Amino acid sequence: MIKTEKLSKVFRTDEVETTALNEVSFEIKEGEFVAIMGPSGCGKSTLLNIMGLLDNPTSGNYYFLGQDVSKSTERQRANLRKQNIGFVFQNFNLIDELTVFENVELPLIYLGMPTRERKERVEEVLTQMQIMHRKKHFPLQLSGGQQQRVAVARAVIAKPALILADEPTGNLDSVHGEEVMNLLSDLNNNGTTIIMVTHSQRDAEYSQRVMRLFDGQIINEDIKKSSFVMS
Amino acid sequence: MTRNFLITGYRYLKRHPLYAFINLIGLSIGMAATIIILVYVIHESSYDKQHVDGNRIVRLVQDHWGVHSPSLKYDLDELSNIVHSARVDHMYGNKMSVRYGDKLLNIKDIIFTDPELFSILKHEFVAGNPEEALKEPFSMVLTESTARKVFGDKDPIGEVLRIDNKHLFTVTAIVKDIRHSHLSYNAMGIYEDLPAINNQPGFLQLTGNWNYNYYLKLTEGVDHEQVEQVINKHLTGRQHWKNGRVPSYQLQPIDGVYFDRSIKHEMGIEHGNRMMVRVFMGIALIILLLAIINFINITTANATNRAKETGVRKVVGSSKFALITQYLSEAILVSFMAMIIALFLVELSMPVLQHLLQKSLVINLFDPRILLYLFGGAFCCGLLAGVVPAWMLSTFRPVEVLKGFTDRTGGKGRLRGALTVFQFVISTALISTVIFAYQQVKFINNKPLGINIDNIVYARISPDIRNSKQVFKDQLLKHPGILEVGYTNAIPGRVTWQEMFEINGESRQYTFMVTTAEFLKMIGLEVAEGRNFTTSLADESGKIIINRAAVDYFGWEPALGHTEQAPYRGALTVIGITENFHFNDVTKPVSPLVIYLWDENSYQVCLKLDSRHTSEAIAYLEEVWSSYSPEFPIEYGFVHDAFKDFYQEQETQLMVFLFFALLSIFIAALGLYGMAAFTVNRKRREVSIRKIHGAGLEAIYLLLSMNMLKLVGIAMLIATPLAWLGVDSWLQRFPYTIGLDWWVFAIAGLCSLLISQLTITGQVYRVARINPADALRYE
Repeated sequence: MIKTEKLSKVFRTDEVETTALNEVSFEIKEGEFVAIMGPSGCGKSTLLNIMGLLDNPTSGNYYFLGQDVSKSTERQRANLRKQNIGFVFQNFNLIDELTVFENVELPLIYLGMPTRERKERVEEVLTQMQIMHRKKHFPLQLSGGQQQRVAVARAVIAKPALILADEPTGNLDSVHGEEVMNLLSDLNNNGTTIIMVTHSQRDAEYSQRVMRLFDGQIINEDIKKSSFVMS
Repeated sequence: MTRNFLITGYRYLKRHPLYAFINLIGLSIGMAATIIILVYVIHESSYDKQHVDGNRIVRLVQDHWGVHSPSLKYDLDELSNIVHSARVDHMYGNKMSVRYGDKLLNIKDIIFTDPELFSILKHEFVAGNPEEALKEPFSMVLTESTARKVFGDKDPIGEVLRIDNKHLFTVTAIVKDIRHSHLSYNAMGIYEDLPAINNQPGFLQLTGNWNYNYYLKLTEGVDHEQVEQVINKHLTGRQHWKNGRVPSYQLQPIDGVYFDRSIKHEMGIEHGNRMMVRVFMGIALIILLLAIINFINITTANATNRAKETGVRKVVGSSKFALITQYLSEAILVSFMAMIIALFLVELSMPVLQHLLQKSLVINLFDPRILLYLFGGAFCCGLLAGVVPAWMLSTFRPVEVLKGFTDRTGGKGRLRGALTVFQFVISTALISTVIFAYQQVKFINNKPLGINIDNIVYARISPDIRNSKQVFKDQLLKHPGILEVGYTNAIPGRVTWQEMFEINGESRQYTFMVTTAEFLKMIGLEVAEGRNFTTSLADESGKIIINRAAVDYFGWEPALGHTEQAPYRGALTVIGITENFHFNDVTKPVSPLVIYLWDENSYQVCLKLDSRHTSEAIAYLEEVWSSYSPEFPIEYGFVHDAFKDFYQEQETQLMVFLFFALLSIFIAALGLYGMAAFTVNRKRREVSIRKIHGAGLEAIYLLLSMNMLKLVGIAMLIATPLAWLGVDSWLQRFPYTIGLDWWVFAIAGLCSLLISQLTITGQVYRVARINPADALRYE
């Protein structure tokens, strides 16, 4: 599903040049659950952003679903993104002015799905995430755990092949954090590829593979048995 | 998708009331002011546009004369290029007493005209028809409202009116009220009845007596200049042009009369003020621009609050185009909401402005076409106001904004600074302009006239009193509150009579003030050279007093004692010269004046009253008047008020200008307040860090207000020369002006500074008092 070759990202300001990713090469197959770990500033989020087509690499190649997207335009990336990728953020990033229902519905609107179909789909996912009863509430009226469940619902609503999660439990207590991890795990079991950036060893244990980054480079990869995730 | 956009926009406004309030109120006030001004401009521009074949209808003018002799029509009717011609007698507003049964009232603006007027100017007949209306002698056509005033609900056709207690007129037709016309009238009689009415048998053959407006309808497609040449050729050797000189008649398009103030001598013509229309259009544009700038400034300043939303929408698949569409639709939504509020404001403020401008301004909000224009305008405003913020928001990069790096508005910050400077330039320039305008208007109002017109009451005497002027005067003088009584033809402020001398083959036009010696004594007119008139009329026939302007204009050496032949008056000898005094429009230079005694032609009675007994004296005047002239209700006025019209226009302009200037300043201040709120909010972190390190309230105040001070300073530098140029060019219109004092600009700058500081002080104080720990935790 994802393949990178010598992927680099350099941030330049007037006087300073910072290398966030330094010739990173790896491959992630469909249906995998990969955790990316490393200290702050090691390039985890930069890598996630490039994989999520939110940013372009400075050099190297990035193949998404077999297609080289490293030099695609904003419009091409937006199209690929809305059809294939769901995002879950540490700080939820729900739109405060929209209700739970409307937040979850958003990706379907941009996909141009008819209203009726949208409604059925959103209600189905909200039920699945057990937040149907909160569908008319605004994000600020929900607990952190509930907000993240809404965010996960929004990420999966368009049935993307890939979900990118950036420290999804970072702002949650352990109980709510576990709930969210179980949700992601279930999605993975149903075939969705999940790539998650995390600081938490506990969360990383839900994955099948852990990629460790340091100073913009992959320093090692731990491969686990899938049965471990299920336990 | 649109629904989702609108819902988000609406909820965003609800959650940010300050933002919503400033944007909505600013825009709605801007729109309301623009609508009102546009209604005024449309009203002013609609004058004389209603006539069929308007391009073929003209008014005849000759140099500075808009009026001509009674007999000119017969010469003009010989020309084939002129299809119709009509004279209009509108002398002194032609106020006449009208009796119908028990009802007695004065009706103003009765014109006497030729029936062909109906073939030239558009009249909508409610009863009767144009062919028959002015056919029979002593027929009269009334406007709808006059008919209602006289007859109530009764059918007026065929009814007989007794006018000036003398002539019987039969009502033959009713026309709709005359609106949007430079010539307004309430009733029409037949011009050719004037010899009988005025008891002047040879009147229609007069080549002098230039007092009548002429309207012509030309043949289709004919060139105006060509017709002018034909007229001038045809009239050479006729009328006033018997000495071989060629006249210079011109044809003035009917729709150009209202704004053309260059014709000095005319009768009953209402004029608009083109400059006022232009200034107001400019102000409308400025106010709307200020409101739009507010919108852009506040929306871009507030953009950081929308950054997360933009980022999320991009992440879940929104294209840049969809985002631009979203933010533009929000701006248009706000603009539509503002328009609805604006329409309420217009409804509320229209009566005040109608009163102020003395115009019947109307806007029909139920007319779908007008609504379409208004909301079309709102749509354009929304687009204009929304395009910059929409573009800016759509360029946010999700990677950055979702991490909280939202302050990437450096470039737009410069744009906001420039726009704020622009607002201050406008405010500062407007403040100084208003102060100068106020000074100038006060200066003109308080300018000494050179004569004393205090406590003088005047009234046009009725035909009954004309026959017993001396007895009437003696009777009035019996009251202790009436100090002096005199007759005059010319009331200062309304001296309209124009005549001319032929000096060295050239016409020299002057104002002819027909009066009596007792009136000149009453107004305290003094001569600088020669002597004044005496009250003994026998000694003064053929004598004139002229003013300094006339001395310069006529060029007689020496002027005193000079004798000149005047057409229709014979030899006139200068016995005295006065300094220039204001007998008419105080905003214009004093024109050449010839004062001539003519008792029989002095129809206005003037009373100098004791200021301690004014009301008793007036009551006595009314009582004496009704005993002498029961068929003519008295209408009197104070001479001082005759000058008011000249002041009035200036004062109205000043008031309206002041109103809209204050509105502009309010909108600018509103925007500034919003800007300050957001700027100060953005500085919370910096303020907290400085506080932790020991910064006091003053230091923080200085930090936060320094940027604003800089902007005001730049604005002052730009505004001062702009205002100087504008005011200087406005003052060029006046012969007597104030000086451009530097301190006015300084005051304007200080006012702007004060406004800016007032708007930001509360905000700064609020942020300076925050607990640093709270602010840093949020960061």
